[in-house]
Amino acid sequence: MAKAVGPEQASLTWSGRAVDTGRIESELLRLRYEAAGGTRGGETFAIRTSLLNLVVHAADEKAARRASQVIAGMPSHHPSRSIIVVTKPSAAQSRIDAELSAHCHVSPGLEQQVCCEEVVLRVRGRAAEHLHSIIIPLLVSDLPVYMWWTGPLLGLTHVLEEVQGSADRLIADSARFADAASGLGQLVQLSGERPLRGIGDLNWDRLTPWRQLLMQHWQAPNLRPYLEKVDAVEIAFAESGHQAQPSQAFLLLGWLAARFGWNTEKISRAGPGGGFTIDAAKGAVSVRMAPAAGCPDLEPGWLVSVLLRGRGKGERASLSIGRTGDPMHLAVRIEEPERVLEGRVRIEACDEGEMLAQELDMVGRDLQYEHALGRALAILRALAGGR
Amino acid sequence: MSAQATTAAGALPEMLTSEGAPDPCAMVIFGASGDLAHRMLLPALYNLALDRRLPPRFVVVGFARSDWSEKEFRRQALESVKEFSRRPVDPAVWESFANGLTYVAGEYHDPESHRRLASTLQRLEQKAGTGGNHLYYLAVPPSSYPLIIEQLGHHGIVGAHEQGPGWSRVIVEKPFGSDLESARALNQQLHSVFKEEQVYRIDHYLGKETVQNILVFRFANGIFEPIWNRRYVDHVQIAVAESVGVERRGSYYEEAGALRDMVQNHMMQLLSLVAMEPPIAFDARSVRDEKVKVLHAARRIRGAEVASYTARGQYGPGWVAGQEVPGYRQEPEVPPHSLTETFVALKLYIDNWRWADVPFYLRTGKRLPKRSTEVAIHFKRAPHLLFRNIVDVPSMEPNILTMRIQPNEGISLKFHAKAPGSPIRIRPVNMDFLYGASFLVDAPSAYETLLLDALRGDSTLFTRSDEVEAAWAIMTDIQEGWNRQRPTPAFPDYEAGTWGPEEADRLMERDGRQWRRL
Repeated sequence: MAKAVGPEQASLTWSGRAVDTGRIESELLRLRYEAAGGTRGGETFAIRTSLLNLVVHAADEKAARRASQVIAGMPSHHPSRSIIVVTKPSAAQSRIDAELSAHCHVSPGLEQQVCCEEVVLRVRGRAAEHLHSIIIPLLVSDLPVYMWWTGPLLGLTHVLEEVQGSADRLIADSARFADAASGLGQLVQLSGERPLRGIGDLNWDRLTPWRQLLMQHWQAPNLRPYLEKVDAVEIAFAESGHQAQPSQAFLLLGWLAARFGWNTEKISRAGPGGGFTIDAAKGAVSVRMAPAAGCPDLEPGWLVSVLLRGRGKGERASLSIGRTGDPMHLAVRIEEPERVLEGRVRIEACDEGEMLAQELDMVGRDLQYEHALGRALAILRALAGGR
Repeated sequence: MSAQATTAAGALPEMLTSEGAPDPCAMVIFGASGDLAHRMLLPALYNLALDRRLPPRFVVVGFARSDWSEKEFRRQALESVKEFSRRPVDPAVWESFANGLTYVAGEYHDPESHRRLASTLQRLEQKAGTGGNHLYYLAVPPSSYPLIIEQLGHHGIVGAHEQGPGWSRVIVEKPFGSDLESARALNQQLHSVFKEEQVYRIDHYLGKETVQNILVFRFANGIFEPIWNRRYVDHVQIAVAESVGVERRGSYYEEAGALRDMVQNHMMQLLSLVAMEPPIAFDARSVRDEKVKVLHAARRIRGAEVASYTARGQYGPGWVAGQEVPGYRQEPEVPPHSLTETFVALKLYIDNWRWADVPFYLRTGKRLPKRSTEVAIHFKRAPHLLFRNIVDVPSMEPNILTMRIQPNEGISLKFHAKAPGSPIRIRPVNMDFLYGASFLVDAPSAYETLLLDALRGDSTLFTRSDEVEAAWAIMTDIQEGWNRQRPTPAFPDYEAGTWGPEEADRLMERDGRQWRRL
């Protein structure tokens, strides 16, 4: 039923079918010792540092493999135990299959090592409806539990309910939600629940360079007088072939609304062009949010460009940021009454491992995200109600 | 162990003697056909034989009601060793060990049976040269203790001394009484035949490496003792969580409950070791003197105080480790309206200079989500929160030192560290010391450790009569408070596979604290 492979270098694996959690725990312990010993010619390390538990819900085998690859890309940052769960509640027989691996890395020239363990659980039958009873025994005691939800939230709420009681922080990816309004609505609801101490969204992390650029330019003395009173926003998002789900664009708009203090309760549609206006203290803001075709390199829903236009001293200025066709660069264009400035800035690749690492660095709540999320949802709901 | 066994394992008796090998001895196991002998005692003795730790002239006399022959006893013992030994059977060592196994079938209350036992012991003394040294092990239900003790006193097979030629010792299993009164009665009865120095009350927790390590950790290091007090410690949590139910012990457990089964013995031992003052020497008297002082200093919980200082619960049906499991009341031999507790949480204070006003929170339960035994010292927060504007203060957990008894034996320290990069971010980190080396060398079982200690005459890790009575005094107050509590508890009140009843959470919440995540 089970086989141990290795020791080879510092990575060891084990797999077993129809196993119990006690067996999984004892095999993990053995692998950890052997993996640690293997890195130093058989000498056993007695000390390890641990930061967190990461529980991953994967909708299917493909998602589980992808999650495993993403996690493998960031072990040097996070000594951790990852538990990837694939469920099949419809199976007639209740059964748990497990694949375990332990990896220890020694930094070159240093006497330090980082050890990570990964457990892939395939849970079938009725046991899949009682995941907490399988996952809790496998968590490393008294370490924060991060839960990474890799799929759409809707339709799988029972799994989430099962596990969220033991999670400190939920990390979702709103780009994968089937529907923006209901998916973001669920996140808002979860953000208020205990014992969750925080909620994260990889789709929000994709916006980080965009938000940084907007903030830098908005706060620059030349542009600030104009952007104090933004009256128009245009956001374009990728739509390649089929209809995109625009949660990323709405999160950015929600963030802008929170930063500028717009009243997202007061939204009105503005004519047939698909635009709408948001009430703000310094006058209405007209918003145009539209899909952009011809972006084959981008995932549907990812941001293509954003433009802010404002008025100050009776004159207009604008700031626009957009894709360049090169995934490593964004184009920035500033139009002031006296001049037009254009340039390119380098951005990091939208690597899921890096984004996950950022999320795992967060301990408490990400209030900027929660505010943006709340505003984005308010706008989505107001638009749906106004239809 | 016979001389041949020693030779088979390749060591000389002289070497063993120089390492403090026990005296020759005949060990009598009452209840030799029972579960404890089958699962624990015979495999432990065999492993001691494998390690050449048994005395060169060592025999085992099994005594039980089962109508077995000597041959059958040896066959059963081999099955025990095959199934439960931590190492495989070495035929040469087994043969020598088995040659020293004898069996007497008899009734515990029957004088004739005990006469046969006495004559067997005399015969073995002549044949094997056991020197008249006897170790009696009461591996029987507590109801049989008085019968056996009385008979032992009547047949001249209990020596008057604990040490020296012709010594006799008796090992008594838990439960040692069911309340203060019965514990006192049992002590009196034992003392009518044995001196206190001859009585070894076993609590297998004390045989565990990591429990003993609490003493080493505290008293072999200079840096922990200065902060091991009310000035630096906010509170202490001691947890013994089990994922199993009562299994086949329904009728025993129904009478005992978690308070008697777990708190009175194991948890009070852990509490004593964690809270005790430094003993003046590592010997039986000094260590036990300090342990018993802790129990005497524990503030008693009387009458209506049980409502604020304790919580109890009983599991209902649920799921554990992916398996559907029945509730306590559905277990075999448990009445359908049982009010026996399977979960206990307590808040105890130790009223002395070191621990005044520091709460010790204890919790134990069956059918919890995972098996875990640990002691966690929660230190006070840093007095001035320098980083309050940088981090979310509620997420700044205090330093916690955790001693894990099982599984994954080890010690971990939680502290804060700066995450790499800018701006400054602070996150908790666990530095974990694992007993990796000892785990890999396959440490002796608790029973091996304790049996060897008893054979050597070292009672440091056994419980003394005053200790037992002090622990029962605390438990009996609580039990009486519960008995008077109205209305009676609404059991079952926690689902199998969860962390116990809400009442236990409220016990902590009232103090602004929460249970650790095990």
